[in-house]
Amino acid sequence: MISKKVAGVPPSGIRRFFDLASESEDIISLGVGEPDFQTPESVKDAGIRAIEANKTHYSSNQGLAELREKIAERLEKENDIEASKDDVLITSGSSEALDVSLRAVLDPGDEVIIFDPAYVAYAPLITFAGGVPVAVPTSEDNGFKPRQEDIESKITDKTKALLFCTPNNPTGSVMGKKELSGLTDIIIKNDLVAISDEIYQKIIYDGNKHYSIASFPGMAKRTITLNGFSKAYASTGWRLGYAHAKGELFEGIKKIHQYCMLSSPSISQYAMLEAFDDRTVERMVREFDRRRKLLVKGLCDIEGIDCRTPEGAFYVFPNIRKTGMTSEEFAEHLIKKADVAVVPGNVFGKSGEGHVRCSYSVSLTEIKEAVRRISRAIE
Amino acid sequence: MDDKDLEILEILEQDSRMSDKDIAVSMSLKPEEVGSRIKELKKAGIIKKHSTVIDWKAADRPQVTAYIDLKVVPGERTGFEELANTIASHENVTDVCVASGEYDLVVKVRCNDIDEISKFVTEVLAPKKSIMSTYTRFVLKNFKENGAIMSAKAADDKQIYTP
Repeated sequence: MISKKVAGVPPSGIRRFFDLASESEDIISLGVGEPDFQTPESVKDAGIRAIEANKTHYSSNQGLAELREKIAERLEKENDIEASKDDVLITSGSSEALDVSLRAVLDPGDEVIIFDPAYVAYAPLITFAGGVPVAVPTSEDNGFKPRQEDIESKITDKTKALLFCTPNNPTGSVMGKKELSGLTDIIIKNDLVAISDEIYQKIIYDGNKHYSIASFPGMAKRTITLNGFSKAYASTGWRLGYAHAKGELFEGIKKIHQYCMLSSPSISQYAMLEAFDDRTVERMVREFDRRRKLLVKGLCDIEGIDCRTPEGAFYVFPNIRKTGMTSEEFAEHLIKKADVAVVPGNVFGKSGEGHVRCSYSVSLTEIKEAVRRISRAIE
Repeated sequence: MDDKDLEILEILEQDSRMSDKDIAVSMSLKPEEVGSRIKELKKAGIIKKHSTVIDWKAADRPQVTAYIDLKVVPGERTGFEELANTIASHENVTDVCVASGEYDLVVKVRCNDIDEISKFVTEVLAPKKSIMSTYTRFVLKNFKENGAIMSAKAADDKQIYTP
């Protein structure tokens, strides 16, 4: 009864491991993709006040003007993007922003370039939008950043857009000015659209700076920037994100959003007006940073595991090839023998094979214990 | 005290068993530097003590805890200090503080049973001249202690989601 397009997309590979993990009582999960911190009190209070004040109806399609204004200010200040409240769309999580972006730019058969390994939803969402995902492999040797010639070799007359994420899920790698500038050349030369997923923008270490491709010369009119509140403000359940674009791109995504979603959760929008306090984020990032270092060092000390130090997000993506196991075998082995859950790298694409994704959304104490258990199960 | 000391305190407050080496790794410092900083923090009286939060009930050694509020006549030159120190020196007393409000001192005691606590109140506290009255509240159920969730089943209602 369902379309061939939908039937052809396999269920998420992460799910199977979560199910396996839930069978054990004493499991340490390095599998989840959300911060273990709580939504800031000020945000929760604002949400409660909104409910009490009956602000529980549709908001305008595009989203609360005050919230869009705050977001536009941020985009100008932190992302160097020329923005006004009129080109910000509030969405139900950045996931919706991604979906409407793809649907807005793709005609049937259009190709979208993604960098493998990529967030698991990219390829399916491209397919659902009628497009064809085209994976450009990346490798650890290059810090999981795509090489220009590899991208160029995948460009055809069907290529419509480039979709990428920095800081990256699952690898934690961050694209610098040089890499983004290289992408810019390809995008402009081939008249493509950039869909830039920047949901991990705030979670970045070692003085690295986050750059938005929309801020590069000639890119403003051909970029859709995606972001949200989930990761920076530990608010995954509020389902609130946003997209920024100019001109017809913006009109396109807004049109789809207004027909399919009408408006994003109004209560969440009122709550997130209080989300812009960066002291909470800084505290969280400091704690993430400590965990990152302890986890990288702990994994590197285990024979058979190599782990590069990621520059952003809250994932490490260690190489486990020397153990002689595939990603899936390794992840399954850890669940059964170490009571530690990780996500096998191959669910993020072919280039993820030989790796696993470990998120450090657990305390330092648990990281220490997880490393101890992994070490015992491997050696 | 600098930012690094603060960070060390933050880490130790969460888990006092973190080794110098692990703290060093997570802060990109040398273990010796962490060690000497912790030593200084102890010397300065900033780090008081490392302890373990134990659920004695789960260990089948249930204990009785009570908060005892005291109305006190302050000493002429010493205020509440002399009495507070005397009470603090008692081994069953886990916390003593001066508080605002109707009562002056709040004392937390932990004993093996109710009798021991009542003995403490009637024989140790009540006879003291400076204590005008006591108000004892027994703990019925403990949910969180020193930052540790004490109920057997910690609230973990995380839903499974994908991707």
